[in-house]
Amino acid sequence: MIKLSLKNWLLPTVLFLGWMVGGCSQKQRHTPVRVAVTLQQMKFMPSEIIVHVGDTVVFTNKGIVIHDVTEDPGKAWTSGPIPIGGSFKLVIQEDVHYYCSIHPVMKGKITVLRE
Amino acid sequence: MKKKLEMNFKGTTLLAVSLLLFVSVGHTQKTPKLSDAEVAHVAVVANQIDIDYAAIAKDKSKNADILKFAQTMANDHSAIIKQAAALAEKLGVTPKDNAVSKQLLDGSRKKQKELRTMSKKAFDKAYIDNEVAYHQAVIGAVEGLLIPETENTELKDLLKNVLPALKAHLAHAEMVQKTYASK
Repeated sequence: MIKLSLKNWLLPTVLFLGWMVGGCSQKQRHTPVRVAVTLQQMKFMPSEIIVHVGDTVVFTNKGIVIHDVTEDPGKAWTSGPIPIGGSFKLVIQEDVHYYCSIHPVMKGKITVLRE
Repeated sequence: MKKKLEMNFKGTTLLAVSLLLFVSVGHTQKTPKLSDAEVAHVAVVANQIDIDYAAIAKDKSKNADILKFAQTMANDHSAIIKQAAALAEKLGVTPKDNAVSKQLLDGSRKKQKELRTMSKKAFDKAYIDNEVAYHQAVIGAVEGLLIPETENTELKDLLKNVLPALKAHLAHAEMVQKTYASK
């Protein structure tokens, strides 16, 4: 009788624990997503975004002139000229301040969400 | 009004002041009536003038900030002219010469002569001062004259889209100008 009861409870308990562990680890593992930033009206829109490590920010030039995306202030990296209608992808690993080196009044910021 | 404008823009170019006066007249009774073809011509001329100023800067300056700014002006205003020309073609509009564009050209010729004959030492500051004044004047003209005068929606939208670029150019020019404030 006792043997039967343990057998009956064992499988559901293992499955429940497995679901719990799997669920928790899934919560910690973020699936990278794409985040869009447009360059228009001589602005980065939105100019400030919050993302996770590994997310890809896609900058698309919807303006009327050529722009670029350049690390601020050290120019550690740059997209180079982005033609009208063109885009530039950046995989985010850390907080980033950036600007358009062609039009230095255009500035933006990417903050990494730390959980 | 005229006196006030001249005081506010003391030291700026004749062209800038004349453009502003055009706009100020527009706000009173004698609004210069422009057809869409004339608006398109003024827009092309205004952009071409700044490309011409940039060409002088490339000839005369050795300052990296001035040269970079001039290159941006040449590239951006060329791109705007290209889009204006494409739109004019699409709409079947042939840009038409008019009093405003003539006045712009007359003023710019005088300013270009002044900049070309200036010593290289004095040039950089004079160029960037003129860029600040010119963009202030053109922004005033686009907002106060060209957009209100335009009937075609697509041409009006193009002019509205150009405004942020002109304002960013002005802010950029003012940034460069500040570096000369203490000199």
